[in-house]
Amino acid sequence: MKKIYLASLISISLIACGQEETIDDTNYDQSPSQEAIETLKKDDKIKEVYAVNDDEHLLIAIDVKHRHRFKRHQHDLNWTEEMKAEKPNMKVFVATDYKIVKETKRAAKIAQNKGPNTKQTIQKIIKLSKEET
Amino acid sequence: MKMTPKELKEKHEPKRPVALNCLKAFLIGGSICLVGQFISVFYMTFFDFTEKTVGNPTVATLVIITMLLTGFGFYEPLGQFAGAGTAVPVTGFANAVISASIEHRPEGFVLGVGMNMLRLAGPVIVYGVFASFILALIKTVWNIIFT
Repeated sequence: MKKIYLASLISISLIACGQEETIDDTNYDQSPSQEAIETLKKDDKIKEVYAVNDDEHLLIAIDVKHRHRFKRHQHDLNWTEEMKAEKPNMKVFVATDYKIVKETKRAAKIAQNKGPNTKQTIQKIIKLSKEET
Repeated sequence: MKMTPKELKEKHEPKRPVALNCLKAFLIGGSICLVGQFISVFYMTFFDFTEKTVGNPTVATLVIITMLLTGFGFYEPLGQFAGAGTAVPVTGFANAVISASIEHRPEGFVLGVGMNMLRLAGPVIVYGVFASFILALIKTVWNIIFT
């Protein structure tokens, strides 16, 4: 009986170790992101802008110049409206949060180098930006 | 010439170095806020916290640091030197709670620590909650009227 328990424990552990995470290696065309970056870069309130997209979502993270940070929320809404008008067929998310900027910068770099899991990363960042507590 | 107690007090009271006190409060209070900013950036860099959610762990960390500094007796001299610089940030609130707890510990956990730990910090909570309520009320009314 003891041996059966031991064998089943080992086999469960091995099955658990053997499971691999599914890797989505779809490469999405990043031209919507590049167009959004080119449009937003013209705004003098913006220090840096990073963007990444999949077939459905366009995630834009904006590093706002320090003296414009007090009105960040209002600018956020304006940029969202502007981008939604420019890309009506995509779900646009604009964020100016420090963490979102860092994560989007990393995701954009991976997507440009044809890295994996772009869609999952974008969804994770959008979920993170919506967290309240 | 007869002087009133108030005049007598004004005559003999040593002059307070207001400008120097302000400078000390600014430097030490600013340093505490700088430490808080470093803690925030640390949490945002290494954990999944955004600018919206990083406030709670940062405040908790500052309170724990102040608790240790108060317990080991480092916060009191800092408070005497900087005055409002150490009293106004959240660390001042933590210090008020912890020092009252330490002071009343010999009287027992219930009648000593339990009854006295919020003796100094209690008014801060009461007026903080009250002020928040009033501001929320004003904001709600403002939104109803102007939006």
